[in-house]
Amino acid sequence: MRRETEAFLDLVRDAEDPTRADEARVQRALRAAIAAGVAPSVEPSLEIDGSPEGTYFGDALARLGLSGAKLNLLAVCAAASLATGDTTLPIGAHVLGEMRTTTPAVAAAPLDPGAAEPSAPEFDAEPVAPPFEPEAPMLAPSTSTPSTQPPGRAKPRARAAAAPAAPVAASSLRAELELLQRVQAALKRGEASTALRALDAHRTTDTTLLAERRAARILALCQLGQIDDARRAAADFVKQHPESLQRAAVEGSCANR
Amino acid sequence: MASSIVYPAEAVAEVLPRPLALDGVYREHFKSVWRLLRRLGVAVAQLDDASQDVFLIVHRKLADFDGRAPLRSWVFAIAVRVASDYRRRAVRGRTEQLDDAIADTAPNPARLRELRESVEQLHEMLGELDDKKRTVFVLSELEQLSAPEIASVLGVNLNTVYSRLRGAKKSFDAALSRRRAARSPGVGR
Repeated sequence: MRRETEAFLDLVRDAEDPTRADEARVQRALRAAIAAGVAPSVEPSLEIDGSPEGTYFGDALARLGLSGAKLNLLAVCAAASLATGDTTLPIGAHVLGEMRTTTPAVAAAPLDPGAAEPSAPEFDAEPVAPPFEPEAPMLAPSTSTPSTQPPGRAKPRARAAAAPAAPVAASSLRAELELLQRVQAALKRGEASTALRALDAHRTTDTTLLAERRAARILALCQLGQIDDARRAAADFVKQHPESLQRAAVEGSCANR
Repeated sequence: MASSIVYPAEAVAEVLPRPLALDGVYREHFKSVWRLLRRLGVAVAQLDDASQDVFLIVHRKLADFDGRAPLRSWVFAIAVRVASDYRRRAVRGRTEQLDDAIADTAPNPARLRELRESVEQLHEMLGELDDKKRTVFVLSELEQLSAPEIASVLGVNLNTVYSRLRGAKKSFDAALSRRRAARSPGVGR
């Protein structure tokens, strides 16, 4: 390719990045859409431009497209997550990968090699996008009902003057993850009181994994036989995290019986 | 403490991974998905909807993600299809809000003007490529994916990627030269 073309591409490559406002606005709309069970408006086809490309993904999208009108996404996802025991995503690895891009020294040691290690390297290739505003994380308690928060369709606004993004609190996220893994391990061992103590002792303002912490607490209360407490916590959980996929675990717990 | 309630290990195992997924995937990939959709011809006014659709699909399909392809490839594959769908439905004439999209990214008015013109040219020239070449070109030259990763995103073989990329680069080179020549008729190429 000509040098002139390469220079041109260098000039425009990053010229249309979304702003943090764009990111936050779409995130809010996405969260509301998920909570409301809105299906994607597109019907992605099996083919790209008439050729059978992307077949590894095609069937799934075809089903998605054919499913047409509104579905209860939560129900679908919950059913899928309960039905597929071994499809757990290497999300721990994802988070570790993300942290590795920001704090290499801290995140070097895997938390749980068995569960979290596969496929981490691929996340190192890309810069980490600015985090959401702390007050509006994807998993934070929602204070408004879905119906009062329709998906935002506002046009993208002008890029804000390059305000430095607040760095992701990698150490906080790592601590969250470690806590949840300890809690999860304790619950699996049947040591619910250990799990509860760990949850009680955890002090953080990070709400990224708030739904997970609350769900884990409900499961622990169930294990301890504290059904009434679990029910109260579960009722709060459903109100505050209607879009959380942990809802399936909560609703499948003793709190719902 | 002995508990009278047996809690299924599978349900316990559900705690933690998946909900973090959407949050993390969004944070990691929103920016590139947004850019990709735009460069694949989604109108500025449709970018919110299209981005949301991409991540709604991601949300729905995360449980099916098997890790065989990198997550980025998987997300981009969704974005490519969503863009294709939006493009098909789109009403032509999508530069109406271009100024908004790149406002304030340049340090001074002259630079801003140059950038606006360049971005406008970019979209014109991308629009002159056929959709297959355009997609490969954008993934390679703007998102800077490797050819194997592009092959993975599109589900085509590597030779096809190289072939389309060659064609796209040639067309893009020619288009840029034409524009430069038209703007500076007195200057030789």
